[in-house]
Amino acid sequence: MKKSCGLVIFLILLSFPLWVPHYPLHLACMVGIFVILAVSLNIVVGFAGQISLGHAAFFAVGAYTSTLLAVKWGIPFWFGIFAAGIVSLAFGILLGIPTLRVRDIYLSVVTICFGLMVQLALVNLESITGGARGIYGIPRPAIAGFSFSTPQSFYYLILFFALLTIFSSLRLLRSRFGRAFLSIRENELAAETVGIRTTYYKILAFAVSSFYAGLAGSLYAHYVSYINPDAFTFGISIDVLVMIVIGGLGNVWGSVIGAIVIFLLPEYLRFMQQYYRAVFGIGLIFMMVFMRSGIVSTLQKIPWGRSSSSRVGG
Amino acid sequence: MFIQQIIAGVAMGGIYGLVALGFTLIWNAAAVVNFAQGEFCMISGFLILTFFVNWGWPFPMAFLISILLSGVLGVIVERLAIRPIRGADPLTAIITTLGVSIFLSNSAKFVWGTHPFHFPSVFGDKPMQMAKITLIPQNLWIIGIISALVISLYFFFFGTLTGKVMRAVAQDRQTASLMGISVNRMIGMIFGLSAIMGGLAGILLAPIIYVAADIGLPLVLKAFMGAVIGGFGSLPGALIGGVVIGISENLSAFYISSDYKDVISFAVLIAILIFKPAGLFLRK
Repeated sequence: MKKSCGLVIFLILLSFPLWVPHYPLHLACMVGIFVILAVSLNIVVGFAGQISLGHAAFFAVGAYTSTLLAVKWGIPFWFGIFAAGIVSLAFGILLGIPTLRVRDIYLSVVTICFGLMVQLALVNLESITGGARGIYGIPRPAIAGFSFSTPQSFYYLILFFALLTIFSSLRLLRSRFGRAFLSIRENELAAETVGIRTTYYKILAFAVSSFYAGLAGSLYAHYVSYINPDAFTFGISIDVLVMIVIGGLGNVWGSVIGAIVIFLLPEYLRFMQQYYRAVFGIGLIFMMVFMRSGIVSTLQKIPWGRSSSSRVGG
Repeated sequence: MFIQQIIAGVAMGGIYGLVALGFTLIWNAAAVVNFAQGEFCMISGFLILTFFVNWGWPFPMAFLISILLSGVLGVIVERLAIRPIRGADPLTAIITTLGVSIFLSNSAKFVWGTHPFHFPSVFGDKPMQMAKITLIPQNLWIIGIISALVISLYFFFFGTLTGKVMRAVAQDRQTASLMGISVNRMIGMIFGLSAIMGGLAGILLAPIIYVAADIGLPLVLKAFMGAVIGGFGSLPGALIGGVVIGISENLSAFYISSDYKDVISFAVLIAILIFKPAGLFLRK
């Protein structure tokens, strides 16, 4: 049942470009990029329990790395995206080191500052990043004469990386690394006592998470073909964090659902126009007060038709 | 020139210190880091802009009404958003106060627009010459007002019953409630007081920079830095830390680069959090 359900969803996703019009397909591509971001942030916050409010910084590092490689040196996307992941990973380790000394609220502030520093650097390092104007004309990837120049073809590229991120992080969760992350989240002292190198695993969580975020950044840059610092604000970091909290911390499929919901919400709430962001703020407070564990687990608590069967059984 | 920069830094730092004081009061009382603290400054800046500049009320009246409304806003925020999530994990508290911050700053955007507004210099920005030092009256006024506020806060916390009760709640909520103190009401009042202080900071800030919907978060971060430098949770520490941030920011903007002054401050904060998380001052 579950397997066939997954297969149907996969087929629908695969056939998307065949029957979906241009604009919804564009949204699907953007959702895919945000799915990668959310699932990757979930590794740090959901698995390892380290608060991060600066995820947009890794997104930015990935985007600018692969853009600069492509625009300045003509290096193809396939190397660029890998380089984006690696450079972003290096930044992740850099940010991971403070987590050894600080936690909770201090950590949240360190990560906010990190995100703002990266954004300020993008604005101020004009000779490299183009400053606030950003960089235009980022080439679409091409392979053996085939160019991913249409949204239809780029969709498959994003789908591939999104599925790669989802399934590798599911695999990660079930590996010894994932179990180490969870033990740190649940009780760091106890984890250390049973011989888990918490230092190593905490940095590892940041490194893996920022690697994926770097991939997402590279995909984003080559997809929209124009980047500027406004795409990597603190607001984006909050949005991604909200995606994983709404989906339920530590729940990979929850992060996917959270990314879809939070990204598509403004599209469906178009009528609210400039009020949307204020309503979003209220929504956050409401969520935290009434369904703190996320929509997925709240929906699971509702006894969908199960109550009738239990009544028969009981 | 150097002394001038120091005085401007102390004035700016005093404002950060005020925000940090409110922030620390809330942290001590409710164990919540209030990322919305800067929004009280932003809102009261817009209120006084409306009352004083647009409606032409006399300044003292506009001033009082603005900070009072800011205090009322603080009480409302506590009742609707903070009280229901008190005692939850840090992430929940962070997202809730960020939600409050997003709501307030975006509400301000559609009430007053997204553009920054110039605020007239009510305290005077004509430089005065005094023994080779150029003084700007505005900075002296700010330092004076903040000093007066701090002294009256001291008498409030140590001399009045309400102040003592607030300190009791900040020290130990459970014991305070066993002594018959209504903890919820006190925390509400502490939010009101913090919002009044934030509102005052916003009004003092308005003539120095401008009034805009997005000044809240950077202010909170600077105030947080101040609170950390002074030893998180200490009230005098928060004020002194704020002043240290103000001075160093002014000096680095003047002597190094104004484009990078925020980058420098953030880097300094990260360094302090990593190497001296207990603050720069020794505590007994």
